[in-house]
Amino acid sequence: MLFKKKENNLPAGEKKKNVHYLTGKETREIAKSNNRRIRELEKKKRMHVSEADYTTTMRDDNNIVEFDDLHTHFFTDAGVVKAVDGVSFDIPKGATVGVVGESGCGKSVTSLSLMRLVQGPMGQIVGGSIRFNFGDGKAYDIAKMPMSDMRKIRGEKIAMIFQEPMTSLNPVFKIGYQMDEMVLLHTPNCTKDQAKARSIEMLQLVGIAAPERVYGCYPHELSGGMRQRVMIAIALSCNPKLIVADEPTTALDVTIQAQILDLLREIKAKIDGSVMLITHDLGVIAEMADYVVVMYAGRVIECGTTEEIFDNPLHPYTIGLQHSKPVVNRKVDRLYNIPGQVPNPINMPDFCYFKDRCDRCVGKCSGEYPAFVQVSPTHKVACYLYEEKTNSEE
Amino acid sequence: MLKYIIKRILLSLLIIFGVSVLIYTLLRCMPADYVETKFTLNPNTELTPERIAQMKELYGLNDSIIVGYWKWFVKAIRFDFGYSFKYNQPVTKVIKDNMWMSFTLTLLSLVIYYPLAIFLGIKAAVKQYGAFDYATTVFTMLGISLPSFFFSAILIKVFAYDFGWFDTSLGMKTPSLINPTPWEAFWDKAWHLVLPIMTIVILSLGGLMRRSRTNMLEVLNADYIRTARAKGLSENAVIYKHAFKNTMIPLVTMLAGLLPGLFGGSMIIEQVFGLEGIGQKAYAALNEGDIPFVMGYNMFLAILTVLGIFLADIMYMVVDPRVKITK
Amino acid sequence: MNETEKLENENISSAEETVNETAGTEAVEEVSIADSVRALSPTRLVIKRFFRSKLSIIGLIMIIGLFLFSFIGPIFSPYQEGVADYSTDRMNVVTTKMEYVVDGETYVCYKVEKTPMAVDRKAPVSWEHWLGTDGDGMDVLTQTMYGGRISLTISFIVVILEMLIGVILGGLAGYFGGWVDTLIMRIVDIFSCLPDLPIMLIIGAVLDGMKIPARDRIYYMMVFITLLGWIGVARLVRGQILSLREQEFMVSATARGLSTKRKIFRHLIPNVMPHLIVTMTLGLGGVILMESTLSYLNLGVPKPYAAWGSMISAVDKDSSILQYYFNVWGPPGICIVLAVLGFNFIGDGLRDAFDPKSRK
Repeated sequence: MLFKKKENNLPAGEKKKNVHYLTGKETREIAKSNNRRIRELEKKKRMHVSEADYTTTMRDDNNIVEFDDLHTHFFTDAGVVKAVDGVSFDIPKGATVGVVGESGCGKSVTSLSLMRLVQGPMGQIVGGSIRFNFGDGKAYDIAKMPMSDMRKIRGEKIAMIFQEPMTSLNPVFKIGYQMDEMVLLHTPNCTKDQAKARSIEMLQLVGIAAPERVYGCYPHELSGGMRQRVMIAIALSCNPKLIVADEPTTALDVTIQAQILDLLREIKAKIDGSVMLITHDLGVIAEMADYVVVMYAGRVIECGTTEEIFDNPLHPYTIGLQHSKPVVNRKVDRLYNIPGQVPNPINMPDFCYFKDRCDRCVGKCSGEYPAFVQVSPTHKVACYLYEEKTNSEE
Repeated sequence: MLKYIIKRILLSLLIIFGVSVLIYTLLRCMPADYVETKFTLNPNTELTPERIAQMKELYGLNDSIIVGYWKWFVKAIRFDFGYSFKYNQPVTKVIKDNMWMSFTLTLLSLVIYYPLAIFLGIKAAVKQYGAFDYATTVFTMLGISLPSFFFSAILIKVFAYDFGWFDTSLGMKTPSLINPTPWEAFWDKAWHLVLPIMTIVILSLGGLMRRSRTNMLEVLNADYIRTARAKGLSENAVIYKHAFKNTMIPLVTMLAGLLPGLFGGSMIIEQVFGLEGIGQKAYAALNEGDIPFVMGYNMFLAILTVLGIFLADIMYMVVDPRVKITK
Repeated sequence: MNETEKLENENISSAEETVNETAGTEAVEEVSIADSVRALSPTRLVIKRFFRSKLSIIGLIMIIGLFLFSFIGPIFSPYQEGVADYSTDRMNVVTTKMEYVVDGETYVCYKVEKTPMAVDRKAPVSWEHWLGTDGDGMDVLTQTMYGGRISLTISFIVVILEMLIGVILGGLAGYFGGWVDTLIMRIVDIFSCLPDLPIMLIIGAVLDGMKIPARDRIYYMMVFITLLGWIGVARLVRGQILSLREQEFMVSATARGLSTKRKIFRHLIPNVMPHLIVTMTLGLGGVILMESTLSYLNLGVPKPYAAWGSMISAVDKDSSILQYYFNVWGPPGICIVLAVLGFNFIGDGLRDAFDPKSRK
């Protein structure tokens, strides 16, 4: 769903072209190893895991979620796609964390891993942990949780808003039913009338003018912006601690985008939760986020507070991203673009993935993948350019 | 809405008219007409050529195709399909009398295989590429690949001859059963329906199960299923509530398409098991060139088919909230 | 492995070496990340997905096996199609029981009469007749082989004819729309309301009356099966073309000013082909079922020529065959099942292989 197999476009007539196709033997080997791995992982998923096994402790109790060396892989016919490959970052309580990157760099897969919604059996979390602060001093490792227990978290503690409002609502149920369902599920001893009252209250909260009417509508009778509002209303109806918004405004037009973002910010303040905002729009990040995580090809390459990332971007990729954003009042002949595209993360070599597109390469870049360099207590970057600097400062 | 329905009805009438012209023309091309097979080839009846001509006149076989069709048509629009040569009764009466036998048989099978197929299809889709999926796939594929006459022959051999559970003379009742009580007669009849129903169920299961499986797979990949999971619903609620209602839409509308099979009977199965349904009557009539009955039977089927398509459309509107008539 | 594949392998291994070489040292040769990623070629992807399913492979083996059986098999058979076996030394045994009462005592006497059989009827399974002989003394195995020729040939011819008519008419309707579409679709509607079996029975009777030579009959039937079957293809092609016409890549093809011919042959047909191939493969099984049903009703190849369906119809005429001689009607039935099942497996496998969404 995220990584389409594309043929690489080499100039025609070049003999090397065959290199880009796998031979029958190789594909058979891939299929064999995939099947084995998938079977192992699926078995593990079904196994009964007691609560003690997935209980863990937070590194910092002020965090709501801590991603720690998360690996989510897709076992495709062309090989293992390491969609998320060693991602670590924290989401502090009450904060908004923006995750940015180009399409296909693993942002959405990270969020789906947090919800355990990665489409199996092809996609699997293969390693690392996602620690979730459950409250009352308890913390769970979501990556180890069995599916049946995930239901305690989904919707109630972590709610998700999806990218495609047009298709994310079930077309054959009325809005009212789909909203009530969420309330009834997560509120103990809730009557139908109470659920309806809550749903209508939520519809009002997200700024729908005629909540009673919308309550009785089918999804196809609403516009895209309205549907996204409904999605937000559903997500927020149980006062989640964390809202995961996966490109909530991408499919909407610009005026609606602003409204939806305002709404999200307001509501976040109201319910005092955290937000994990995934987007490729830096403007949205600047406006909304407290912390920024920049991802590239399944890895975090730079993270820090919004100020740090915007005022002092370090990684060449982050800098490139900044440059490719149009800025009012600055005259440029041509908007900057980062040459090339995100590589397809199959069989990635062990050197900085951005090397090919980077204009500031140094000799070391061909070496192994750079480790994180801590620039400030909150700001770190994975690039050799800064390693030397910090080393020489010492 | 009204305009749409009127348009559909007019179109259906046009289709039925086309079908009737085609079938009538074909029938009149049949050389062995009823009079010849019944009277001329029978050495016992000594018929003069005048008598034969008289008979042909009576049955309307001397007219040209166009005149003959016109005569048929004028009567048919008043639901008078003429007099069956073979059964010596009005065609409509023969159809009416024999229809219910076929209807019972098909309906009983339908009640068994429809829910079963949907259930198996969903199970297989949920466990895609699992052992259950493979097993049902192979089993149901085997079902669609079996010719009905071969499968019923196997059933008769195994269950009636080898095991002796069923009456080998087939038909509708055991010949040795003399003066049965109504209750006994009922059970005897029901027992005779077991093998035909089994045949129909196993042969029909596959196609529907495949469709249900494909539908379910498509639905399970939809975004709204992910939303439902993200809400924290249990896997059962996701599948049997959110996905189920979506898969049911095409399957329910398909029910309407089964209308002709429901009343029209199945020639082969009725023939093999010796059931006196409409299919068997039609088969016998076809073999003897009983033009009015064959014509009437085919029109009956055509009307049911058209009606089925029409009903399916209506069902779509009822079941799927997204479908609204805009024309 | 053929030449080109070997070459490919060499290329790949050399490319891998260069990656390893450059990894540690300064980038001597430019090896980009994009170069190190290898995907499957589209054709291979389809083939690979097809062969991943065990059922498709089984289906393929079944069909190839049946082809060999029907077309090569008869060469090795000492018997001929439609000729009874007269060379038997089996005897008809008639036993008569007689009772004589002599001097108040009863004697039971059995009279056993043996007459040589002229024709080897209903022979059991033996070395001479691997599957025995049928009620007319013909070798069942040989008859089954010849029956396969009929079924397989007919299914392919009918499906190809259906495809031709369906693609042309459906294509015309879909591409031109307007009154052409209306006219063709009304014809399709009328044909779809014709009940298959009754119509085929009528046609069978018509053919009887026209005194068509027995051997040619099946070809006429074939034409009529086609006439009843093309509507499915026409509907599919029309629907596909209608939906494709609305899609962006077709709009863009028009915007780029491509010629109609190029649009049809480069853009429409390659998109319709996968669906068509799948439908056709599944259709092959359907035609075999139809043909065998007609043969079963004695509307197909007349005796003594063999067809799977008519071999099974022996059970109707003689219930002892149904009861005791499974070797007469079982093999052709199993062959029908194998053929239809094989085509269904292949069709199913192809559908999964072509559909980019149905990935594991």
